[in-house]
Amino acid sequence: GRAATLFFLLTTLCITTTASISGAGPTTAPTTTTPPAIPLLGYGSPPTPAAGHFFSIPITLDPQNQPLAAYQLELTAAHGTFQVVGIENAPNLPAFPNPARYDRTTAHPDQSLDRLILADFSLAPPEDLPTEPAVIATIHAYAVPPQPLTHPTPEQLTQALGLTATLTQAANPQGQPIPATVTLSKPTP
Amino acid sequence: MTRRRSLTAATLALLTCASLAIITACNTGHDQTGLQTGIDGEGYVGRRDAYFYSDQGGEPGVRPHFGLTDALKQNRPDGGDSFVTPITPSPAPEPAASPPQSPADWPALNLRRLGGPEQSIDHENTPNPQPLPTASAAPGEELWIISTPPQGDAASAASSPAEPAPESGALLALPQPKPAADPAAPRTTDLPTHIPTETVPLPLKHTDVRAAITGYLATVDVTQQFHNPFDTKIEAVYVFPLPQDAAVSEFVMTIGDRKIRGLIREKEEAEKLYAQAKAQGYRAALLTQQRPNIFTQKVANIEPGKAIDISIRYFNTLAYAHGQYHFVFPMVVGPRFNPPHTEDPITPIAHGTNPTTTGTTTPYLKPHERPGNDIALTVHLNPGVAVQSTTSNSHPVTTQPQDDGSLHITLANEATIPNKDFVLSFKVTGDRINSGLVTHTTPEGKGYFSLMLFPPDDLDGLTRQPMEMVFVLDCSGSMSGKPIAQAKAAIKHALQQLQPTDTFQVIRFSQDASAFGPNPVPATPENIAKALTYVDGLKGSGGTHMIEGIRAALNFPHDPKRYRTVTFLTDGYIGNEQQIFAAIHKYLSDARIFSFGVGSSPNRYLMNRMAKAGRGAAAYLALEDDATAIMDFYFQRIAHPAMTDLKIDWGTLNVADVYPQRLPDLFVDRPVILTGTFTGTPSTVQVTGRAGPYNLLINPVTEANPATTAGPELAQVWARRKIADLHDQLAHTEDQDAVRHQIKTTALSYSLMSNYTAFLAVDTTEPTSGTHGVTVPVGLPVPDGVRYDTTVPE
Repeated sequence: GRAATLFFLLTTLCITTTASISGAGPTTAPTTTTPPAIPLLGYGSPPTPAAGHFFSIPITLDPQNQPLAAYQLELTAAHGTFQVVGIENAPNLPAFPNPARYDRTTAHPDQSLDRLILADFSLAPPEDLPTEPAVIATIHAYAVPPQPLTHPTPEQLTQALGLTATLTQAANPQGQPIPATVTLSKPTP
Repeated sequence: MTRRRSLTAATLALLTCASLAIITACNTGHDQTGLQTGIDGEGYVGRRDAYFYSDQGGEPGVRPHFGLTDALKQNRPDGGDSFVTPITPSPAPEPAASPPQSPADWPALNLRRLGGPEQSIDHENTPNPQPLPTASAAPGEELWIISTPPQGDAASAASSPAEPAPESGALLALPQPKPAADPAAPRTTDLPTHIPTETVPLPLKHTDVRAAITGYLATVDVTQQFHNPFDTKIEAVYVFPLPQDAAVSEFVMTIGDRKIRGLIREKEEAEKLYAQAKAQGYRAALLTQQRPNIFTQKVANIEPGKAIDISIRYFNTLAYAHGQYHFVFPMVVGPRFNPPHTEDPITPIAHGTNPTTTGTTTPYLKPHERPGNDIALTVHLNPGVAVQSTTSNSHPVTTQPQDDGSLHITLANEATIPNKDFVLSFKVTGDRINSGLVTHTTPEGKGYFSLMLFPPDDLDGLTRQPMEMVFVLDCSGSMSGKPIAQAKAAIKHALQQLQPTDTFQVIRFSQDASAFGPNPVPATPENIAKALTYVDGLKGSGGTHMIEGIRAALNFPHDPKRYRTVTFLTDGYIGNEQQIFAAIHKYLSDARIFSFGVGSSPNRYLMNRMAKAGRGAAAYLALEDDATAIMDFYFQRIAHPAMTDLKIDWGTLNVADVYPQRLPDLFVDRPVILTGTFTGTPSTVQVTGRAGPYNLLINPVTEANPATTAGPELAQVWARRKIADLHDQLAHTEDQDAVRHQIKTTALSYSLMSNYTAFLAVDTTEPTSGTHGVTVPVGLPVPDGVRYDTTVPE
């Protein structure tokens, strides 16, 4: 009786261990220094090994002292893997409260090199439109540089990827083009 | 006592004990009052997303011209809208009182709640939640409410006889089933109602829905407020429904003042990126689609006490039927049954259990548990013409007229439990809708159109052919109680509407299928009486092998002298929809399928697609609807021949990619909507067809004016319909990969959700500390009227 019980327990343990290793059974608890507090209501999954870097890039547009009512720009990378995972709104521009619209295409069939077109417009009164350099959007992206980098900064990744922003058009409230410039950095104070 | 008798007695005793044990453990859903219109206004199932033209402000406009034969002119009705019968709503019920909240401790959870109920949650400048009151019932204790029988006039007005008074200790006993006074009257559930008492803390705090109806297009913003009330980092997972034709086109993650717009990607790619972000500690959100009406939201790395909002925008066109437009917002996914080998199943599990199956799981709260989240819903109604009346029989609402003539409609009860579909119906003044063409041309010169075809009034005066009526009733466990009572009442009323020249058959299915008789029988009084008794005896239990019902209903010889109509009554809680569509495609032949979605949250995607595949129409029968009135509408529709064999002469328009690809039939008061692309200038469009022996002609309005010009959303509406049509092809095409690729390409081009695309947003500013935490699914309430014990495995 006791031997049979012990045999049953050992068999169950072996099966559970094998299923956990093969991934066929219920997901295993995450590897963590603190044991998970809710073994019933929640469940962990093995973390995926990191292969690239998540980073964010501010895009600064300088309207050259003219009221900025609309803009369109293009963001491209030349090397490695560059995939946009978020477009954040301008932090300090009440005239542009929401994240910019986008159109995304890919330069490569494997979807690894995004080409992003950003555009936005504002119907705010002209006196509320930005006239000085300001961050109009922050791009959140995932990148794998062509050469491995250890703990790269966003600037290092920008350079390694050959990331460029090209302003297609900027306009004032009357719809007239204005001579604005765009850079992939925060505005210089 | 002989050995056999003793064994039989023991077996009976065991079964009785087991039954009592099961019954004592079960509860019905929270009983909601109020009627629901329950009618899906789609003239052609699954094709609700389009603009259509109507007269503005009472101006005569241009009317369609009907070319009729002399015989038809003699039968022309004198006039009046004879096929539109208004539904008189019941008075709005009193809003339900908020149930008691749970106590400070949640022993069912091993996660310690931050500082107890008084602890505020940091919403980064959003208001703090109210502290929770103490409970009136201990955790785990079920609270039974036994309703007292109505007295005097109320008793005679009640639709069902009074409940017998319970005996001492009857809180745990099954009340004696009451005999129905009228066999045609719907029977209420045999079990008493109860109110959930224990609030379960969930990662979803609140859902805010804001809909704007302009013309006949609804733009809906859904904001889900996720938070972490626990002491460790979590990933929230929430399975929820949206309308099956919703074009989901925007996705924004909000953290405090920061808004991060998500991008649409191929599903596998998005899932890979999400997994990477989650593993590295970044806050991320992923929205995927499992069915056209079922989505999964995942939000990773929500830190203790923190909150993240996810906003989704979609739009769809409103359904129209019987003189009313209908806006529907589904609130909960019903528990699905998945036959063996179902691809990508949707599996119900009890909240608090680990999923052990592949595919998607929907964790349901127990009957005594109340979700810790609620829903607020507002509709801004501005259809462009004066609104004659608005009705919501699903939920109590308040309506406020605005200065510009629009209406602002909100849920009356701010603590509404999201356990049933919200349905808002409204009627506009002025002349009836006319057939018409609506167009939009992009700056690049590509044209998109929507053509709405309204059947001629004269179909109403035509007599119908003898019919072969086949009723198919879902007798699975999820239909047990109120749903099957409603469905049976509808079938019994329909049987009594048949003419002597008709034949009929009644089929039931759950684990298997069986029928009233081996073949359809004439609708004689004797046969109908027997059928009524047969239907009365049907009950709900077991799985939902709908494929058996399909085969039984379609796979037998068709009577060439009769018009076969197959009417399905089901809640649609299955996970193998594609298999059903394939079977309909295989066995349909000359039959037509009409699907009735029964219950508070039916699977509308299945209902509409079944009817589309079966060249019929869908209708809905909610729990407190008048089943006889719904059936009368239905018979009005099928009692007159449809306009069939439609052909369209597009004139100077060069059209392409028109959906649906096969032109459907036009039923009385059910418009058909086509969308497509075009080049050229619209001039004259003519639609011809037959109604029995008669030839008919429709000239839709095509002149260009502001009412016939739509916005750029029309392009996405067309793309959504194209995706839906391609998805239908998957049920019966051999080249699955090519069709999937087309779906993916179309969805990416138009930034739309689909089975093969997903929205992803990641905040890469800085990772959160520690590992990615624990995944906590959001528990769901079982839909109103559905029994937990017969649908959710423990």
